[in-house]
Amino acid sequence: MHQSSLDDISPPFVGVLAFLGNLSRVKGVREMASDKRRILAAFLYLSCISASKTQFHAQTRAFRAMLQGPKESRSGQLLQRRALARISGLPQEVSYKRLFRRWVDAGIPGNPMGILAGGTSEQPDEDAFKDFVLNRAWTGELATSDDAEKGPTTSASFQEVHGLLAQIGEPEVPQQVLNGNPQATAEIIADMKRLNAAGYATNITSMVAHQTLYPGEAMAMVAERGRRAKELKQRLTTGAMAALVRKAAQFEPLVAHPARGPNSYVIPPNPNVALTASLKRLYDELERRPAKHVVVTNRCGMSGAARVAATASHAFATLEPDTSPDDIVVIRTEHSDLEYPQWFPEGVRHLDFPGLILSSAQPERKKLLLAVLRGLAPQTILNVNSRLLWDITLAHGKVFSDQSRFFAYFFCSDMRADGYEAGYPVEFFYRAMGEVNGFITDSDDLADTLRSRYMLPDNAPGLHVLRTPLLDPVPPVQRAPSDADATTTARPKILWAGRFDRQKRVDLLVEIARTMPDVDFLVWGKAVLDAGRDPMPSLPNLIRKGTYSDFAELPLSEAHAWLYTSAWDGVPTLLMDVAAAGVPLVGSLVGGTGEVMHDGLAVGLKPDASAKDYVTAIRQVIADQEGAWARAAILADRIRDERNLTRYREDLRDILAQKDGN
Amino acid sequence: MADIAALVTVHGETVLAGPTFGSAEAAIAQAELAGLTVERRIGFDRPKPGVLDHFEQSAFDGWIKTVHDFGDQGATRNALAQLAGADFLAFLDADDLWSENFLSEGTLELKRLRDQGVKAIAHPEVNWFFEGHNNCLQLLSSDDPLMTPEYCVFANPYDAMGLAPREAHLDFPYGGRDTAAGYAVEDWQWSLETLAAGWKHVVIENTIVFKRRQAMSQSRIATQAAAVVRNYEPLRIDRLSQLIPTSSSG
Repeated sequence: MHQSSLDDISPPFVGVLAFLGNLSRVKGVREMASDKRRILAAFLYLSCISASKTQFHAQTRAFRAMLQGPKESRSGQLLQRRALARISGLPQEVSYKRLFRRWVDAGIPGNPMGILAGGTSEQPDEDAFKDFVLNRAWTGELATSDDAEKGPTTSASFQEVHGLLAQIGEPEVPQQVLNGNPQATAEIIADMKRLNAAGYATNITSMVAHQTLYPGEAMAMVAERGRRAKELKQRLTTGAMAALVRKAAQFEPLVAHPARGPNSYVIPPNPNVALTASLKRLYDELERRPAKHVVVTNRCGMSGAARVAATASHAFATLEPDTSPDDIVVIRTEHSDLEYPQWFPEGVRHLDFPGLILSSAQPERKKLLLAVLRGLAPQTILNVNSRLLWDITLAHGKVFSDQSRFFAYFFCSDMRADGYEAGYPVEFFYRAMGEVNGFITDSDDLADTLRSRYMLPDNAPGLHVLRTPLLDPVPPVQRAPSDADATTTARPKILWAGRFDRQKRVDLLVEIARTMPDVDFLVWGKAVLDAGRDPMPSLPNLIRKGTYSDFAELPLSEAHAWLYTSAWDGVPTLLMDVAAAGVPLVGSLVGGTGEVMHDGLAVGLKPDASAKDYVTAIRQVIADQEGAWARAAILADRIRDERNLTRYREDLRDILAQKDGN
Repeated sequence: MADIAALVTVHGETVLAGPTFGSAEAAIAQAELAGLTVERRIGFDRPKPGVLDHFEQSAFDGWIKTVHDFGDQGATRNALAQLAGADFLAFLDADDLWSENFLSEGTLELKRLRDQGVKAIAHPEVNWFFEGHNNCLQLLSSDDPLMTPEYCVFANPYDAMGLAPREAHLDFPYGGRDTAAGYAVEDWQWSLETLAAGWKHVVIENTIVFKRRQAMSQSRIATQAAAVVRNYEPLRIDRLSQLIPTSSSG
C-alpha cells in the first residue's frame, strides 16, 4: 500500500493540512479518524479534483490521452509512453492506471502530461515527476501493462470475484463483467470505498460503469459528477443562478414549486451510467463492426432452437458470395451459455448479452438490445426464440422491419401444466403481424394450425414454412452384426435423449422402462427448463449416460430402436438426426414429428398412446430388427434428400426476398 | 438582418404562453442592452380554436406571426428558420421559459466562437423541469470529459431550445415525424446529425431553460418512451465513436 508521508506532498498542499482540524468535524471524516493516512489521502485527492472545471477538463482529457490514447492515435500514445519512460526510467509497458492512482493518492496537482509539454506554472516539471516516481518502492507494482491486467479467467478466479462482491453485499454484478479478475475487482472495490469515504456515494456497478466509460479515470469521474451535482445545487439555490430562478418565477411562480426545490440535480451520463457503459461493452465486444445478418436467440444450449440458430447462421454465411461468417452476429439474450459453439460456422461473432451488461432491469435490457440491433445496421434480423426481442418487437418492430428484413421463428406452442396452449405462437402471432416482415415455422403442422385458427387466406403473405436441414449429419448407421447375431441372448437396447422436462414425457419413458425390465434404456440429457427437478428415478434398466456433445458419439449401431416420447413438439432436430442415421424410430406423433417419422417408415403413436401401446410397438421392432432397420434406411435417404442446407438456404433466400419486393 | 431571431412555436397554448412570452421579452431586452438586435416571430402550427384570437392582443404586436399546417413541430421550426432574418436562431416552446441572460450570453459566445472559425451551437447549462416534473439536468458541452457517444444513444443530449447559427438549421432541417412507425424525436435527430457533421455544441454557463412538464396520460408517456430516431447512421456501431467532434472547428 501507499506509504504517504510529507515527502510525497507538494508544497502547496502542506497548507491544506491546516484545514484538517475543521475537516475532522465532518461525520464521514470522523469515522475515518482511526486511519490518519486515509484522511490525508482522501483530502488531498479532493483537493486535486476540486480544481476549476476548466482545469479539470484539461486534466482529464490529458489523462485519457495518456492512459488510453485515442484509437486513431496509437502512435501518439506510444510517443507519450516513450517520453514518460525516458524521464522516469520506467519501462514503456507499465500499468498507467496504477500510476494514475498513485498520482491521485499523492495529491500532486496537474498531471503527468504537463511534463511532456515542458512543464507550466500549473503542471509539474520533469524533476517533479522524477521525484514522484524515482526510487519509490511502489514502482514495482507498475510492472504489468494495463492489457495484462485482464488476468486469468478460471472458474476459481470467478469464484474469488464472487466472494469479493459478496463481501460488499453486491453479488449481482455479472462476474463476466469483471473478467474473472480478482485483483482488478479488489482494486475497483478499493476505489469505491475510497470515494465513499470521501463523501461521494457510489457502488460497484457505478464504479465498473465509470471504469468502462472512462478507463483509468473512474475515480476522478465519479468524484467529478458528485462535485458538479453539489455545486449545481448550490449555484441554483444560493449562488449565481439563484437570481435567474427568482426572475423566472416572477413570470411563472410554478417554477419555484414545490418549496423544497428540485428533487434531483442530474449530471450526465444520464439517465443511467450503467446503461451507457453497457452499450460500450457490447459494442467493444462486437469489435465495433456492423453485421449483415443477426440471429437473436435466448440461449445456445441443448435445444432445437439453438440448432436452428446455428443452421440459419450457416445459411447466412453462404447466402451471398461476399458474405463471410464474420458478417454474422449471434446474440444470446437470456442466458450466457454457449454449450455447442461447434454447431456454428467458425468466425461467427457471438454476443453474450446478459454476461456483458451491467443492469438486469427489463427496460434497460430492452433499450440495449434495440440499440445493438439498430447499431449493427444489419440487412437481416432473425428472431429464433429470443424472449427479449419478442418483447421489444411490439414497440419497435416497425423500426426493424423498416430498416432491415425482420423475420421471427415460431416453433411449437408450449403446453401449460393445466393443459392450455401457450408460447410465442399464441402470444405474438397476431400481435406482431405488421411489426415483422414475416414469420417462419419449422413445421407444416404449426403453419396449418395458425392459418386455420386465424382464418388466413391460402395466399396470405408473411407465414412461411422452412424445413430445418440436417446439420453435419452422421453417415447412415449399419446395424451392428454382433447385435444381429445376439438378439436372442444380449439385452436389447433402446436409446432415448432429450431435456428432462415435462414436454419430453420422462414419466412415460420411465413407465415403459418399468414395464420392460428385460430391455436396457440408455438415456442422455438433463433438466433444462425444469432445472432443479430431476424426474428420473433409479431403475436397473434405466441407464443414464449424461449429456453428449456430438450425436455421432452415441452407440447408434447397437440400438434396437430410438424412442421419442414428446407430448408436444415442432420438428425436433434430434428426431431428424436419428432418422438420418437410419436408426429405427418409435415415437409420438405430435406437432411436426410426423414430418420426420414418415408413415410406414417409422412407428408413430397417437398423442394419447399409453405406455402399454409403446411397449407393444417396441417389442414389435425388437422382434423384427431386420425389417425395422431396412425401413429406417429408406427413411434416412428420404430425410437426407428433403432436409439439406442448400435447399434451406434457397428457401430462406426466397423468403427474405419477399421483403425486398422481388 | 437581426442578430437573433426569437422563434416561438405555438399549437394550443393561450394563457399558458403568458409566462413564456414574459420571459422571452425579458431575455430579448437583455440582449438588446448588450447591443444585439432581435427579431420576434411566432409560428402557429395547426392552432387550436381560440389560439389566434388570443394572440391578437396588442402585447404581441411586436411579433411577426405566421400560421402553418404541418401538425409537426419540427416542420414548423424548419419554416420559421427559412423565414427568419437573423444570424442566430433561438427556438422556444410556448410553455417553456428562458432565463433572461440566455439570448445575450449565448449569442455573444457564438459570435466569439464564429470569429475564431468555430461552428458552434449553444445550449443552456441547465434544463430546469417544473410542474409535472421537478428536477434539474446539467447539459454537457460536446467536449466535456463526461460526454460519451454512448450517452447520445439513450438520451437526447440537446433539445431544440438552443441557439444556433441559421445555417445550422438550413443545412440540417428537422426530420419529419412518423409516430405510427415510432419515429418522433426530431430534435434528438437534429442533435446527432449536427454532432456527426462536426458542429461543436457548447453550454453557456449560468443559463437556464425552464421546461414545463405537464402531467401526461400513461399512453402518451408510453408512446414518447418508445419513440426513436429515424436516421441511425450517426449511431451506427462503426461510427459512434466518431460522433463527438474531436476538433474545435467543424
